[in-house]
Amino acid sequence: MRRVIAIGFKDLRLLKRDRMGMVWVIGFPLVVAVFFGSILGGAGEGEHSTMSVAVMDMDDSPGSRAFVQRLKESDALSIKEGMTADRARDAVRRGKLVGFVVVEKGYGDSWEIFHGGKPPVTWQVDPARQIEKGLLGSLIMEASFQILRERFSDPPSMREQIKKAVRSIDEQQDLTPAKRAMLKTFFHALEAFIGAGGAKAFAQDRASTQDEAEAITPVRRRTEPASAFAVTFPQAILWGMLGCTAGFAVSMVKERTEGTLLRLRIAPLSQAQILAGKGLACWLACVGVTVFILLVGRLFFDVQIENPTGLVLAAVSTAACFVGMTMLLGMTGKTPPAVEGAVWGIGLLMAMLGGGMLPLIVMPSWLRTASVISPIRWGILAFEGAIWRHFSLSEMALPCVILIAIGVASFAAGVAVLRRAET
Amino acid sequence: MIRAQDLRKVYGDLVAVDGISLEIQRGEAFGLLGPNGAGKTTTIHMLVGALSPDAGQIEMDGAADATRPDIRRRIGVAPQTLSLYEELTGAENLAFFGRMYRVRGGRLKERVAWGLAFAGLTERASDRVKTYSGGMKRRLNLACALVHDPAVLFLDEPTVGVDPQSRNYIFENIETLKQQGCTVVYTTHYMEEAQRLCDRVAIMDHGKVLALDAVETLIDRHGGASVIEAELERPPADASALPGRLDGTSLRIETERPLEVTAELTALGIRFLSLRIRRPDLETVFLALTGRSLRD
Repeated sequence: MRRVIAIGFKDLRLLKRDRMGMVWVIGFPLVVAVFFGSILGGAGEGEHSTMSVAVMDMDDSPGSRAFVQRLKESDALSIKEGMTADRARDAVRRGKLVGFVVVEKGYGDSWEIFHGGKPPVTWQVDPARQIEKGLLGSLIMEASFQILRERFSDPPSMREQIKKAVRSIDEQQDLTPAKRAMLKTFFHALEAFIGAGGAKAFAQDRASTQDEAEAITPVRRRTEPASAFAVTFPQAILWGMLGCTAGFAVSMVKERTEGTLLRLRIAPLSQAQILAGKGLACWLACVGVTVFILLVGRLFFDVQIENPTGLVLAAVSTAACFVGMTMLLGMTGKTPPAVEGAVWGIGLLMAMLGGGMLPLIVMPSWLRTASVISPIRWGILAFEGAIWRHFSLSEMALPCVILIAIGVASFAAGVAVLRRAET
Repeated sequence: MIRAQDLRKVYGDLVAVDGISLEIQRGEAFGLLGPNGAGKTTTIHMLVGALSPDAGQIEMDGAADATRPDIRRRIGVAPQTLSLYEELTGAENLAFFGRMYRVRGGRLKERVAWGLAFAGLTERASDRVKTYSGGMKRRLNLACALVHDPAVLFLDEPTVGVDPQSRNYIFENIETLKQQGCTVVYTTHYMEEAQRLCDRVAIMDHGKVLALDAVETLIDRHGGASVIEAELERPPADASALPGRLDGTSLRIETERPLEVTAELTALGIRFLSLRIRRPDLETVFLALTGRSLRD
């Protein structure tokens, strides 16, 4: 065992002294994590980017002011007020604003519950930013429905609205007596319901539902990462492991071509001891890279680990997978440059396919299906499962077992190649 | 101590070693002499258990399996390529290979210090191997094979690409090891090295042993006559009285008795401007056996 450890530590020392190798193992993955994490929205709740939108309130009624206030409260919007329509349009043209919203005259009337027509709100968005157009539309809808819901749960306001509606029915000349009687019966019944505390109960019920929702929020499973860094740091770990694979596969070819493997083979060591020593070094390097990258993520980018046991499983099984691949690539390559090229070429393909460059979620479905052949996909899934997907241990089993299976199969293939070379 | 019987190794259509048999005695310096591609390295690799022969048997100290750990502990190999970790220091290389042979603790420190002194690298012990000259690396390559104090040392072309000073250093070290009773198996294509260092030599070509014996015996048996090459002060009046061939003032004589013939010429009153007696060597033995030079 001592000699296995001696081989492992010798390889780790060689990796440490290879400055370029360390750049690929530590430096590059961290750059990937920070760069893509920042692009994808950084630290989520605290730092995500907002849409700058101008709002022109042409109605200036209590209703329109409440609507504008709702928009201002949205985390996704940064509202600019006091602009004219022309200035707002010019700012959009110059790319200073994403778009503008006009609350037209008469919005206050449409605010009434039984108004009937659509609220007169118009908006325009920079044609180059179609994604934001959809988002702005949904935020306007959300603000309108919030106001409507609040009015339903406010008894005095509801009574006032019912009185207005009844007056309006009386003023309508074209209504048949039967229709008029039916509508008035409905509104009187509604007024009686509110008088009996129905609206209050409705409001309380809503409040209690809200309370419940707030109460269960802390224990509810999150289905999305706390920040973009929770997505990019698992990717970075896989890049770091690819760097380890490249470094160790190249060192194995060097051992073969430079004769040091011959020295080891004629020493009183079994083949298993030599391979175990080399595998140990690669495994320790992969686990070390995982720990280092996550430590940086935790200390500087607030990457939280939701399932530490799952993380250990992910690190152990992903490292095992990369050890196997290292063995196979190191034994099949003829020269160090050829192996280095092969590792990065294959690694790049696997990373592209497995979500190591762009998250799988932005890929078309056929590509997501094809990604099952990439160990990078399973590695990322395992780490994400432990970091933010809240995988249970049984859910962790699938990616971990697949990773270990790939590792064992690759290792066995590498050993077979070595044995053939010895005869 | 080492016995090989009918060893054969084939790579595709190439017969690298073709039925070699040899025996090496304890404490002997045994040379495998032959041109590049003769099969010397393949033979060494089979003897040390790095390659499995396609046919034939190998015995090492009576054991049929050269890969047994107790047998391997008694063997040291300095491969032809510089088998060192360039990013490690000289001391780290020695310590690592020592550990592989279960040398530990104080004994390891002692052997590392011995290896550095043996290679003349004590002052450069903490420098990385990549900063060493070619000669220094060669010497360290040899020291790494000796760090566990083996009884048998296999040296595969240990002086390739080495400056004359380092070559001499290596020769002196090997001669010291011989005196200490170490068995040395030495491959080379430099006949003067084999002649200087080896008690017995096997001359190899195309995977076969063409001749195997003590150096002097091989020369006596296959080397032919000595050659006297002389430049005369003036041609003698009667050139027909001279042995050999006279061309102007240049005289060339092939003879089994070079010293006696030279004395006879002097007695005849022949005066020499220059005189050279060339004894047959392993180069001429190889030429006689194969019809070509070792360096062809």
